[in-house]
Amino acid sequence: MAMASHRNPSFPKSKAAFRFIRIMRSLRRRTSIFPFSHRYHAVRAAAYASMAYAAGPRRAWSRALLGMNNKRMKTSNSHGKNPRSSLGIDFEAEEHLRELVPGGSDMDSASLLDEAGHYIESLKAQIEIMKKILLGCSR
Amino acid sequence: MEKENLFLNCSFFNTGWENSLMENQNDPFESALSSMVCSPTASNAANGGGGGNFNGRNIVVKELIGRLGSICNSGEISAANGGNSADASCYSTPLTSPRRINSSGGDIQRIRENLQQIRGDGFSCFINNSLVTDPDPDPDRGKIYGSPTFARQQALNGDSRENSSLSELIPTNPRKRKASTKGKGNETSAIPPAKRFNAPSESCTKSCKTEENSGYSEKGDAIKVKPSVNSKQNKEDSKVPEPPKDYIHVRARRGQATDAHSLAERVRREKISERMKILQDLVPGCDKIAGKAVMLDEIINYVQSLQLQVEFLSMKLATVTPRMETTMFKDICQARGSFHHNINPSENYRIQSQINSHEAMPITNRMDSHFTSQLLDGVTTGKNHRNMFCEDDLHTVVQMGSREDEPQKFHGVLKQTQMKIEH
Repeated sequence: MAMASHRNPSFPKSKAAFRFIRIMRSLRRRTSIFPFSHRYHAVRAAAYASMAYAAGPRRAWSRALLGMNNKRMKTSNSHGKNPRSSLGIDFEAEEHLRELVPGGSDMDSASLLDEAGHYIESLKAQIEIMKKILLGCSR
Repeated sequence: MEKENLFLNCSFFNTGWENSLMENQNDPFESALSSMVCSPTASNAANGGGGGNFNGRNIVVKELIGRLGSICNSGEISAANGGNSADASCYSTPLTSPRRINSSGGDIQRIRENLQQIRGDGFSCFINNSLVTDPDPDPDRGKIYGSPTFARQQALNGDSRENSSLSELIPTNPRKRKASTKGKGNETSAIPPAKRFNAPSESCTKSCKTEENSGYSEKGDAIKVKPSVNSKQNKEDSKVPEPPKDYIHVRARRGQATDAHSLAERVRREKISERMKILQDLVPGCDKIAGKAVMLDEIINYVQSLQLQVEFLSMKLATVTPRMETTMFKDICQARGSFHHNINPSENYRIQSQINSHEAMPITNRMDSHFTSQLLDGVTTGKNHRNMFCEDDLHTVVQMGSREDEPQKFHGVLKQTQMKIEH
């Protein structure tokens, strides 16, 4: 589809990868974080942050992840009928989706689906990155 | 083909339908029409044996008329958009491809003539037969029964007028549609015969149901829309201009409300269904699923599984991290470089500089520093809303372990993390 092909180059994997490695290195510097739980949370936050950074501030979910909601104007909400108009018949499923996608509570249904699609793409890319890292480490 | 055999065997239709339908069978429009013709006849041959052939023919004719509109709609739109569902509305935006079905123009013309002919024949059947006495339990057929009362009224008033109104419908339709494209159009008074067309059908209360009305109006709509598509038709004199591209034009269907709210509602729904289609391509294994509800559930499951994968991978990385050295980083970056296609030399240089220098980051921007401080805040104070306890993660793992996608990965990492937690 035209829109899918338009979307693919908009998530640069290299950007996310470099960012992730940079963060990991900075984490490694602060080796005082010994307990596993802290390390795990740090790595996970690093993963999401690098994903959001690579996605850029154009997407609502990346803005929500980076906590930059207050500082920027949200442009995606201008043409929605209500900020929370329902999708159709499935109300609970839509709320569930809103919880899953970061920043989903402020979007209307059409852009929610849009953001969900982009979020899925970036999640897939991030997972690939982390798998490659693990492959490299375990060798 | 089996459909052709059925068609040849059934003796109901000996009008000009045969000639029109037997040629160009490879045209999807025609084949859909022929299949639609054959299926009611076949079913009638199965069911209506006792009821008499005449009754079956009435049912067939009525179903034919009722379905012709939907077939026309779906036919032209499927030819344009490559197989949309049959309930496609006449929705034109600059985004969708322009609809030009010039190949089937002649066929549509022929079918329209046949339709008029059939209606003439059918109505004579209606008059001769005592119609609505057939207690048909089939709800589908019951819908169509609304038509005979209306048809009977029309037939009593004169078939010629009905036929003329039908033919009058066509040249006046471009005018109507132009009016509707200009604003959120109401039904203008430019088509008094059309209003007369509708009014008796609305006045017949008992047997007319709304679906039948919309079926009729769909048929009228179908015939109405065709002039816009086949501008080369010699029947229509005015060529329809392309809608201006500054805002989205939605065709108002007859029989549906044309106020601003419902139109905007329909636009919204179309947008949402468009995005659902895109999502269908993203989520694996969702090609065959039809319907928003199931699709949404699949999407939610997929997002959840992806997020869980990220968490497990980060857990794994967290176990590996203290043992990582600079050589490890170099290996990682080189492995990274192998699968990054779009690394340009400048970035490559940047990697090397980072590895060799072991300094503070040469490239710092505000976002970077903002993020790292935020990250550390989140880690140390636990303010980050994504910080969950590991026990909760394991609970969710156990719940998700029953799902089909990647159970082995979950179990493997589950064991690993359990070992780590016990330390």
